[in-house]
Amino acid sequence: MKILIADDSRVMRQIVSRTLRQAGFDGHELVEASNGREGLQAVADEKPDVILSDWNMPEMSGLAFLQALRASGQAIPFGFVTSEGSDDMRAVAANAGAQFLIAKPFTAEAFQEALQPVLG
Amino acid sequence: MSVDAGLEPDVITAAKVDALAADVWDSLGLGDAGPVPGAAEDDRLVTASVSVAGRWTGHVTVSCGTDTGRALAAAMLGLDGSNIEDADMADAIGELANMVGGSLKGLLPPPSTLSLPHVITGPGATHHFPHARPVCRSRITAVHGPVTITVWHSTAERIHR
Repeated sequence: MKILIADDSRVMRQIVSRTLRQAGFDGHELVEASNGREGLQAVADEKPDVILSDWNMPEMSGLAFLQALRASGQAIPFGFVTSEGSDDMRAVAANAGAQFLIAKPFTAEAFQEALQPVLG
Repeated sequence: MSVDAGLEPDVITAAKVDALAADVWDSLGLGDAGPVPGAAEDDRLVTASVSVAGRWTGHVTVSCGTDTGRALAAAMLGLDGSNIEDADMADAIGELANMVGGSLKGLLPPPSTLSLPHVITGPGATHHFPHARPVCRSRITAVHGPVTITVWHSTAERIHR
């Protein structure tokens, strides 16, 4: 499967990639974007199977990215990996069509739990 | 050194910031972080800040010497520490501020928003917040060196009354 990682931090994209491997999800193809706008372009170009996105990003936030995807009828599984995991934000994410929200700081187990239903 | 001196003594304490930071360091594989007595600051610092705006408004800064900053960036990127560029160091320390700030935001009454990180580097590089005062300072260390985390509470509301 192909996984799109959208985060404005190169360091965090690297950490998410490493945590995916630690969670046992190695062998998947990873593509990257540094904000929501690049993410939308990557969806068109790369056709990922799953999207992991930060929430706070310059140019286009992760929430706007998700809303744009769903408004265009695309149902690609989408999860947030974000430093903010309040109940309010989880509700906003779910209402916008996110499958899950992984709060930083995270563990490989949190990735397993969130992604197992999607990646198998 | 940890100093409690806050407007929010029950919500934001140095001990809580120590614990939040230890969780962040642990999750990133940066070792067991714990409080450390005050030590001489490096001349050349990298300092990242994020701001929280809401019922509680303030800032969180994460600051360390650039040698520590490069070592942290190398560990976070899984690279050899000898060739870390300034941009990656700034990215790494900015992400630490983002994670500590996001965790702190979780302790505060909603709703509130968290800004993107702002990072400065240079001799004595320190953010100045004219309408805020430090309420909590936590100095922790792990294998890569000491890091100072400061929580600032905005006093702007009182100024505008």
